[in-house]
Amino acid sequence: MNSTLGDQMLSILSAATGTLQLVFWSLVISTIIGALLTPVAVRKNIWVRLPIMVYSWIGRALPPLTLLIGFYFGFIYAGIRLPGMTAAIIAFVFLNAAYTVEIFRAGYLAVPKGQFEGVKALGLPPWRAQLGIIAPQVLRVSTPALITNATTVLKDSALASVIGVMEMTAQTQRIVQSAPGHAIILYSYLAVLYIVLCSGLFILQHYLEKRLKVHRRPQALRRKP
Amino acid sequence: MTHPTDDTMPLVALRNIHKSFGDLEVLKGVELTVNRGEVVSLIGPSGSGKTTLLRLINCLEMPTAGEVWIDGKRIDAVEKNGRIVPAKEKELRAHRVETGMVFQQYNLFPHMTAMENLIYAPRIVRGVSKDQATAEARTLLTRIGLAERAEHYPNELSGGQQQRVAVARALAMKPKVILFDEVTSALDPEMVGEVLEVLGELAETGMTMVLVTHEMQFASEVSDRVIFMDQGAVVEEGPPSQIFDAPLQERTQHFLRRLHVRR
Repeated sequence: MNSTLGDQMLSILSAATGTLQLVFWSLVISTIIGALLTPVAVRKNIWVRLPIMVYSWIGRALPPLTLLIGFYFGFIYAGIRLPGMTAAIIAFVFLNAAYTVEIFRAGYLAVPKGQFEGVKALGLPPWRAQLGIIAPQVLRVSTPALITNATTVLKDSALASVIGVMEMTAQTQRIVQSAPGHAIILYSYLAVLYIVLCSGLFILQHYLEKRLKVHRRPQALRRKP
Repeated sequence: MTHPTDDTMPLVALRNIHKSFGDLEVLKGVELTVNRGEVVSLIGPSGSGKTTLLRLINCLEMPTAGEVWIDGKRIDAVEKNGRIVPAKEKELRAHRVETGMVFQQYNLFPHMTAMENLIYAPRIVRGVSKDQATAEARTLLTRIGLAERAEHYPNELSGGQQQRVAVARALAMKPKVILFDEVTSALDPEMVGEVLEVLGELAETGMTMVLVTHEMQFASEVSDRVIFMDQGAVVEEGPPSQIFDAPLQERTQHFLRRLHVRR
């Protein structure tokens, strides 16, 4: 490979689409799953929420690398040959939905008790109350933690190179292995790319917090005896 | 309403109410009736059970024993196949629409403007059109002197303003009775007056109101009847002139003396 430094950088940049694809789908799907599990996770009945507690415990306990390898080879043993990208998305969804449901659960518990009494006293049907009144407040509280979590997924996505997913880190390694001349420059370039992508998430957080009016919290509830 | 309502029948009737939280019995066989257009104040030391009694009227708390009747209908329990069974949440919801409530902590929805707070429930629960709900909300906001604050969020309003909006939100549902649970207790002293003013005006319109309050002066001015509770039971009830000027029971006298109530 006799490419110039510019060509090499361009090819790492184009591998960013792999990173973005992996991160985007992992976040979208795990956020949806996390949101769907939350109403069950906040139920009072321990037996109802036990399966989710167990899942979230395992999902958060396993290292991402272990999950990637586990899912990739697990599917192969089961006779299903998945593209590396698909297996990586499944592994990250499994991991991240476990965190997401915890974040939403914490956000739900942070909604003042008075809000629930308010909707009750007005006679609002439960699902309209949950979607229209409670969920927006959960989302407000959860946004900062969700974005922090998203940056972790973005950085962990580099691990997917071990199962052959073509993303930025994998591409950089491949180029450096065949032409080690620009190793320092290329790895620094890679670092800058991660910083830029993470900054994108921080900007998104800033925008969402403004948009969702995160500061608009009800007053802390003064409990009565 | 499918059956004709008798105007002489009490609007609210609580019969022999017992309520326990675990081993603690907070209400020990309480009777409460509130007639149409009547303003009733519940007073008493903290822990006397007055807030629990208020919350039983719209079944935010369910009685351990006893009956809750609103407008001639039993709401805490229903008859099914000849047996009396506790009412389901869905059945309770239909009745809560008729009993508005204003809370100590306002409980306005923080992500909605004052206007949105007022029109959300009427549109969903009462099925009112957006135009009509908005027009009615505007009238209510004008009535409480906050028409120009319609597009403000709760955190942009003072405590007194928020509580006035909360009163308007309850009124927007056109309830038969409104319950007020220590609505001035969380307010800064200088904001108590503006909220009491709104409540006083409301009482003059003939709205049926039940108030749990520590504002004795206000209770004596606005109430048709005052009920003094202590240790989970009604000790004494009567017109404000009796309760505040010539209480019959020693416990009432003792309570009022401690508050330095003078008229």
